[in-house]
Amino acid sequence: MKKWDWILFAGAVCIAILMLMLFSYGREDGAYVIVSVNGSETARYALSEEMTEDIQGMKNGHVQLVIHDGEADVTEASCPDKLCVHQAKISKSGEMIVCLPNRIVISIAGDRSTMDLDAVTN
Amino acid sequence: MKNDKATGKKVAYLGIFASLAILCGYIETLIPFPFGIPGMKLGLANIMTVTILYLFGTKEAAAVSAVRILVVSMLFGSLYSMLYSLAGAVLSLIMMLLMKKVKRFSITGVSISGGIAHNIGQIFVAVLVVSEIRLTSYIPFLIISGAVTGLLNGIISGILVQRLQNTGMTNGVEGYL
Repeated sequence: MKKWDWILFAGAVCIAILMLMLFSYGREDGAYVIVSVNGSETARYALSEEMTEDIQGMKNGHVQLVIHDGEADVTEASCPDKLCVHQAKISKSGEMIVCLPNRIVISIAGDRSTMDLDAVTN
Repeated sequence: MKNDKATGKKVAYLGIFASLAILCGYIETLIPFPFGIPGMKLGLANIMTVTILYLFGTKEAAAVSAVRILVVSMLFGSLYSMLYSLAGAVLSLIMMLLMKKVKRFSITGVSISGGIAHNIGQIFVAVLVVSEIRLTSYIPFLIISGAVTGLLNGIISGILVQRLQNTGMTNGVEGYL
């Protein structure tokens, strides 16, 4: 390995870490779970509820979405690679779980701090 | 006559490399990579692509990659996995050619750039397939994994190229495109 190989490696890792910091900057606890199939929104749930729902994807595929303790998670999927099941639970706005074979994207939106305020005033 | 012999030899070697690359692709489907990031993988087959790129040349590397992707996706994948692999392979090969031309980088650096380019190419196809631009938020993870796997694969390719060149197997077959 030459010096330039290391520079390339270190440069790539630095850029990646910078991007990560940029992406995660200012992420708040989310309020909603948005389910979209093939690019269009099909369902929306409050992150505060407790539920288990089977989500229909493309070509008879499906994933099981569980919302529990303010976190959304995919616990079952019909696809062979199960990448979506392995993905970490999400709770912050902008985070998402993707199932490419079923073309399902589960993402978090909204801001929980404003929701909490509503709850208090109620 | 001499040329025919050299061509035959080369085709035979490329056949062996193609089968090795297919085997690498198969082994990859057996190894779970449980980080939950779409497109993240070891890229073992890239060991073969890089090795061929250095032993023979661009055309040969592209041809073996194409054969490998076709066979591996048909046997173990789907139409979409073929699309992802193809986009990754094309971008990766272009990137590696450029980096090789620069001369500053060794085979390891070339492989690192290829690994990163492969992962980024794949995620852009995924963005198109699910029409979800936010998939690009995986790019940092994919850059890191591409760099690490590219580094390891590059070291292996370096050893392979050196040893194979020492055997003299490529004498008279490399270089002519």
